[in-house]
Amino acid sequence: MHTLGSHPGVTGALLLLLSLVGSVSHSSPTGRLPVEEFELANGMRFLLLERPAMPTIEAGWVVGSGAADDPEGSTGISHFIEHMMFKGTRSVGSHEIDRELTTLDRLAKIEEALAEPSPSGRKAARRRSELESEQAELEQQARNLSQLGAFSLEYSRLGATRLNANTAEDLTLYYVTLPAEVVELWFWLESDRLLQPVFREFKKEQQVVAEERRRRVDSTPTGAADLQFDTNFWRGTSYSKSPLGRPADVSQLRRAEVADFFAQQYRPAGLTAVLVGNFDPGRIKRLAQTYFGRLGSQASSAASVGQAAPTNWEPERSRQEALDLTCECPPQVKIRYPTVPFSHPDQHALQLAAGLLNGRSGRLYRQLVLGQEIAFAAFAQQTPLRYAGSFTVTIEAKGGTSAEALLSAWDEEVARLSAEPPTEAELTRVKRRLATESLNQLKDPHLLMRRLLVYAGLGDWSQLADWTEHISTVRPEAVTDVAERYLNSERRLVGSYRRAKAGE
Amino acid sequence: MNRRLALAVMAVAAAGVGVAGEGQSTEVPTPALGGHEIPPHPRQLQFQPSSWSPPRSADSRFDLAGGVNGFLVGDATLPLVDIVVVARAGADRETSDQRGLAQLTAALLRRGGTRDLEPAAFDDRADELGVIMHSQSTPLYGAATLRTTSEALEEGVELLLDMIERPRFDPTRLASIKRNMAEGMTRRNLDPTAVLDREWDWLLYGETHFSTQPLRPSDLERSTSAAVTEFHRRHWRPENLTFAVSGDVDRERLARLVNPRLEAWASRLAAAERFSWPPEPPTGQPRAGLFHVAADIPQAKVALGHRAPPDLPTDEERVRLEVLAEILGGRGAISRLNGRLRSAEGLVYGVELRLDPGDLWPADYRVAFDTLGRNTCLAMSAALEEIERIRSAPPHPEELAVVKRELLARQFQAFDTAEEAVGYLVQDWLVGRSPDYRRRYGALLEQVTPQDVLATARLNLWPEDLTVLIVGPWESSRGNLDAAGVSELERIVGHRVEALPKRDPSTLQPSN
Repeated sequence: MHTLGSHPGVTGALLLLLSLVGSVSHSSPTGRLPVEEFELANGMRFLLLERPAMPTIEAGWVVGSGAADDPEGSTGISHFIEHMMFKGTRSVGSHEIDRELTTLDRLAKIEEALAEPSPSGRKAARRRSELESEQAELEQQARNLSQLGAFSLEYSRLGATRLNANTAEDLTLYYVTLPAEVVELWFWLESDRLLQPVFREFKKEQQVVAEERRRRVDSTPTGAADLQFDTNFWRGTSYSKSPLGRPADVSQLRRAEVADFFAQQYRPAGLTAVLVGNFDPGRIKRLAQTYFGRLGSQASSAASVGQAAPTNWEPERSRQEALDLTCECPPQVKIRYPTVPFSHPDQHALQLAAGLLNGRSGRLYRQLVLGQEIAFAAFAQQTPLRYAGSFTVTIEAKGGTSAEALLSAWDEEVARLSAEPPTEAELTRVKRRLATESLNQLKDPHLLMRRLLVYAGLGDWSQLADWTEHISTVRPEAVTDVAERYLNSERRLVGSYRRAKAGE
Repeated sequence: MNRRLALAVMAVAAAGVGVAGEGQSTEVPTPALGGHEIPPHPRQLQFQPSSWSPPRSADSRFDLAGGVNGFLVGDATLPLVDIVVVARAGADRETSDQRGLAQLTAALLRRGGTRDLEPAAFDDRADELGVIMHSQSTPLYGAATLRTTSEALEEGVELLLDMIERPRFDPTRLASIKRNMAEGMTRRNLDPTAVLDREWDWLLYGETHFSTQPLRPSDLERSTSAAVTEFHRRHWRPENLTFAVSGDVDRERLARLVNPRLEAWASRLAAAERFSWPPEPPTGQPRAGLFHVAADIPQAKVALGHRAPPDLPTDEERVRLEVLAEILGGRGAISRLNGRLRSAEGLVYGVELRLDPGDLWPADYRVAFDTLGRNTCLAMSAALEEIERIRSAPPHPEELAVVKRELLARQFQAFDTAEEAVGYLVQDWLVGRSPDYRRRYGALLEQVTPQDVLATARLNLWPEDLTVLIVGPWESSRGNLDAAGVSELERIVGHRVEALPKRDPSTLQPSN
């Protein structure tokens, strides 16, 4: 059993050997994203993008592990760790760290004992009751020893803002905005929470996560239906697990398994940090080495979980499937096809196909919204994940238009897309619009930092810088080709959303 | 009601993780490595103070031809330019038989074509140039936006000026937009959060002010192409416009591009009509009490609060109020409400607090959270206790110091991009805030004392006058009933509950 708060992957022996490995500057062909990249000996990578006019620095790091890595029976564990990472460290968040760790260790042992199948009989029941009493007492004791919110407070007191994190299917992001002059604080706190986190307030946070799920899924118009659709689409693959996890799984998470999972996933070779803003790159490199160089490297040569491709990423579907979904939403159909992952060369043609369909001059708006007036709104999107991808079209019905009529209208658009390449003029218009949108996405430094984290977490940050170049080379025939190959009705899932009838 | 100026130039802020905390941490030694001493605790790190200060409003402000106001913050980081044209052409300019015209006019500007281009040809032309254009409205303003590469700036500006000066208001597009808006009206009860916001506004401001009046089917029927054209002619005029420009362009180039057109446009117009500014404030009396709207969801969506005091605050008072809001329920580490309801009690995912004194008339103060139905009484009690606590004693000096630092840093963050910077400067100018407010902000913040915070809390927070609104399941939210049939929640709030009527989504008239 691991002692909570320790990071089993950290040892001191290798620390003095660490040094920067390679420092290469990658500029995008357009020169718009002059990112400097370097890697520490332990495998942790850094991406630096200077914006000298800014008074702040946007800083974050990504671990290439997310909900798809959650073990069966422990779904939601990646997201729960994300919450736990704000509970402080050995150095930050305790009134008396040794006593607190001893208490937390004992709590973990009690949880393990209570998780064992319980033998019948009065003696066993009494023992169980004793353990539960001790557990309640220790939880209160641990709470008294901890300083709630101390980790966030260290940031706030020096003016850091937007401290937050997100868990997705393939990755988990942690980020913050700092006044430029206090950047060392980020190095201190982030390396510390990777080195020696303490997972405090475990039970309370399970309740918070349950509230988050109710808020995001159960109390929104389409939350539950969307979740059902996603789970069905990815059935049989690791992407069928929602980042929020199943409520029963989250409520039964134990401290020891969370600590184990953290140790397994949060290894330096799976981490990439991004800094955007006003800084001296030389100083940043020194700080990176000093602080993050402390993270143990023994795991860096091993395949980090989330980086080795398992085999079950393709949805198992050989014929069209349909789902009837109830929601508190307008009638709509959602049609999803399996496509290609992030790094696949067809990715850009698929994104261009979505571009042809979207926008005021897009085919969906002109045909379904304005022309036939059967849709209130319609939108297409290619979504790449690390090992798989999907193309989704959502069409909201107008008036009493049936789901069948919407599906039929969509099929006509697919037939058109597959049969005849777009004209050069149409394609050029879409490429120009997408290029401006893409350029705009590089403007906001906070969003840029988060996008770089996502692209790096998926495997290649330079895809962000080079996106416009890739899009510009797509030929009309390539759009037809991907439409024909991937928008295949036999492999799609069709969800028909309708409002629940009374009593349903 | 959207009282905030919804300028498209404002960036979206990510939500922070709000947890409360205080006190010193135990210091545990950490090895020093790599020739750089790592102190055992982050409080031992040494930092230089920042010398940064926001840009001067006067440096960005200039006059364009035709009486148009201009603001420009240049930034050549990317070859991109954003132009937001804000027009004093909001719903306040509508007469009682013109409701919806401001919204329709703004919507149709972008979608209805121009004198020389049919709607579809206009869309194609925008794509050919690679420019992105929108138009929209808020209760007080209309806005038209252009986002373009520097390369296409000239043609993009021409298209933008065509759009705002010579709109076609194509009748076929108008009919289509009206049918879509009518469809949208049928959906207004589907999202419980939208229901909470709508009923909240009506409880606090009444249903008759232009800023809270929803669009109804009869408004659409009255809105003809001729009526939209006339509304545009009267209100989308150069002297009513402000250009907020940011990105890779300088003042001279911009003036060369827009001034000849603006001058010619202004010269063709008859003298402007006079309209009062600011518009009349809402006259509806806020309703204190406990109100409920039934919704079949597992959580109760809760809002509690009241209108702001009748006198608009001075800059000093506004800053004190910001400090109070940050301590009570801000986005950073010091948020007593989040610390209590989320971190300590595990009752909510987050608490949102808005202490908005208003810019043109008193706005409102509101605490909002979602919680599992059966936890509503606990969460409500905790929220009320925190409000009472901040009215009872001054904050700890350390708590105040952290909040000041956070608020000051958020000023930095607000000026991270030229687009955000020009947005704030224009917003201040439109509502008549003192032009040096952003530059004085740090000094004003520094002056706030713990006693100021206490006094501000007592002056502004009125627990005895609360409006409490719950959207969700009543049976599970109300708690136990006593012998007289009074529920626990009613006892906590001090009012018997009043069930608000179900409303027809299109007309929003009571339907039961």
